[in-house]
Parts: sequence; C-alpha cells; structure tokens
Amino acid sequence: MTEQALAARPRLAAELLALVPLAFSDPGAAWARVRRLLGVLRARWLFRGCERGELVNALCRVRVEARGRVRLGARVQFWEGMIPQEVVCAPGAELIIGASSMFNYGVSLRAERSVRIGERCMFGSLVIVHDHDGELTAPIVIEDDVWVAYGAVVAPGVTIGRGSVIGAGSVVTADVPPRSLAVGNPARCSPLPASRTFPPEA
Amino acid sequence: MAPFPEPRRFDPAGWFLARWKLRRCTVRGTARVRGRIWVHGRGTIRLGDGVFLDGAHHPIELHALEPDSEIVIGDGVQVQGGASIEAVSSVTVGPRTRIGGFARLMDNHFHPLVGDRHVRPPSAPVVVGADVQIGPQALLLAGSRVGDGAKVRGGTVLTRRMPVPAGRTASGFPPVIE
Repeated sequence: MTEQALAARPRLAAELLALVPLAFSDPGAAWARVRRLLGVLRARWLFRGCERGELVNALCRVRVEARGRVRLGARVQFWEGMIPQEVVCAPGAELIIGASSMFNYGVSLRAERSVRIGERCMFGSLVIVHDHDGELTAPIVIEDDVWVAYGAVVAPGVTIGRGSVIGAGSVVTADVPPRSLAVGNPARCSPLPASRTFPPEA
Repeated sequence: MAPFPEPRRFDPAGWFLARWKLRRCTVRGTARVRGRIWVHGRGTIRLGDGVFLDGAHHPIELHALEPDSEIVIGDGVQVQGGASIEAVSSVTVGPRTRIGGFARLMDNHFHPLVGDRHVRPPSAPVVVGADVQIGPQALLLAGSRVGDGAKVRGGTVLTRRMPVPAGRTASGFPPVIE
C-alpha cells in the first residue's frame, strides 16, 4: 500500500503502525488483530451492496445473497467455524441486524419478507432464522439482547422479546415474551430470574 | 449411522494423512479419518484405537479450550460429519459408541442465563458410556450422563437433570426416557 493511500486512511494507518510494537511484545494478540482487520476488510467486500455500520466483521466467508434491503449495524460479527454463515435476502424483503450482534458458525438468516434482529444479540452455531417455510411467510422480529443458543430454529411470524434466551435445540413456534427462557420442541416459555447487570432491564 | 469401516489393511498414505490431521491429538493405535477435522484449543484430546472420524460430508470439530481440558474418545468410536465435541473440563466417550451427524457434546454453556453474558459459567463433565448410540443432531449439554448401551435418538437434548440409565432410550425435547 502506498504512502498516499495510507494518508487517505488515517485510522488504518494508525492501526497498522500500532501492530509493529505489538508483534514484538505479544505475537498472538498481534495476529488476532490482523485477523480482525482482515475480517473487517472481507465484510466490506462481502456486504458491498448493503447498508452497514462501521467495523462489521466477517471472520469467515459468509454466503451473502443480498437482493433486498440488508442493513447491518456497527460491529456486527460473523465468527469462523466449521460451516460458514448464510445471509439471504429476497428482492423487496428487508433484513436488519442491530449493532454488536454476534453470529457463530452455520447460522442461516433468510428473509423473504422481513427479518429484524436487535442490538447485542448472540446467535449460537447452526441457528436457523427463516421467515418462510413453504406455506407461511411472516416477518420475524428478534429484539435486543436476545441469546439464541446452538441449533435453535425460529419459525416464521415469531417475535422474541427483549433479553430472552432460546435454549439449545429449541423450536420456537410462538411469540416469546420479554425476559423469558424458551426451551423445548415446541418451545415453552418461563420467566428468567431478574438480574441487575445484563441484559439491562426493559 | 456411520458406514461400517472396511477391514483394516496396510494404507501408509491414509495413515500418514490421518496422523497429520490429528497431529494435535494423542492417538493410541490407529485412527481413520475422512475429510476435514477442526481441532482447536490448548487442551488434550485422546483418541483410542480404531476411532473412525467421517468428516467427508461436513467437518468434525474437536475443541478442548483450556490447557487442562480433556476430550477422551474410546476405542472404536465412530463419529459422523458435522458432529462437534467441545470441552472446557472434560468430555468422555466410551468405546464402540457411535455419534451421529451434527450431534454435539458440550460440557459448558459458555454464557450464563442471567448476569454478565460474557462470563463463562462453571462446567460439568459429560460422560458417555460404552456401546451408546447417539443419533444425529442430538445435543448433550453440560453434565449429561449416558449409561452403557443406551440410545439417544436424533434431536434429543439432554441436560444434567436427565441422566440416561444403561440400556434405556432417550428421545425428544424435553427428553422422554423409555
């Protein structure tokens, strides 16, 4: 990269400069930072047609098929793993992901009409969020601070309330109220005990 | 489940390839490997003799996170593609057990239900006995125990509150033990 190009990107230049001493003091941390940087660049390429916030990070080759309106908040992360994630948005549909949400490997997001995911959500591996199942097409809303654990399936038309937890392997077929734990196939909801720290009270 | 492995014959290329793919594991005897294996973490992974990891269709994940975490897989275990074993303390799989595709054995939930979600909760070891059949997409969460000769049907989710006694069958979520 030429000096001129670096001068046009002061943040990137500062980041690269800070890498040099770090590579000597802590090579592991420097390598992690390089991978994060490469992930940000990869996300810029993969989500090139989409509205995206700053520092969207794709640590693996996410399959992106954005023919509708895809909006990614700042610092959305797609983690690496055995199987890449999938982000598919049909023409005329919307797929909105809030800031700081995290997606583990194998997550499949498909929007035929509308999928909205809030801020600071966590998605475990192999979670399926499809807003169409062949018969029914209905919008899915997942509010802020929701944790969807490994292998859960979110059916079309479902709204998951703020701060809820979806247990691993659950199949969510009905709305989940805020701050509750949904577990089972089909999922049954029970309220989560109150917590002072996280997620913040609704 | 897994195709029955062919009778052993001298296959130096396959042996070296398996050794290379499992270079971060301790293998007692010979292990057969197809396809990709993801080995992560700083812990120890011990494989018994005649283990068959079939990652041809989807990769298999062996993840021993911490330096003192341990995955022990007994003799003659067959693992199908997409299966993943994650250990923070220990996951033990007995001999001749079969693990179906996309099954997952994990001894930690990695995030607490309440409180700060980025603090890892304490882990509880997972123990699977001998001659167990674990179906595809079954999920053995922290602290689950499966006795010898038991069956875990596909899609079952086991927790520490639901140990499966020897020779019984668990199915469904929440699980029913017959």
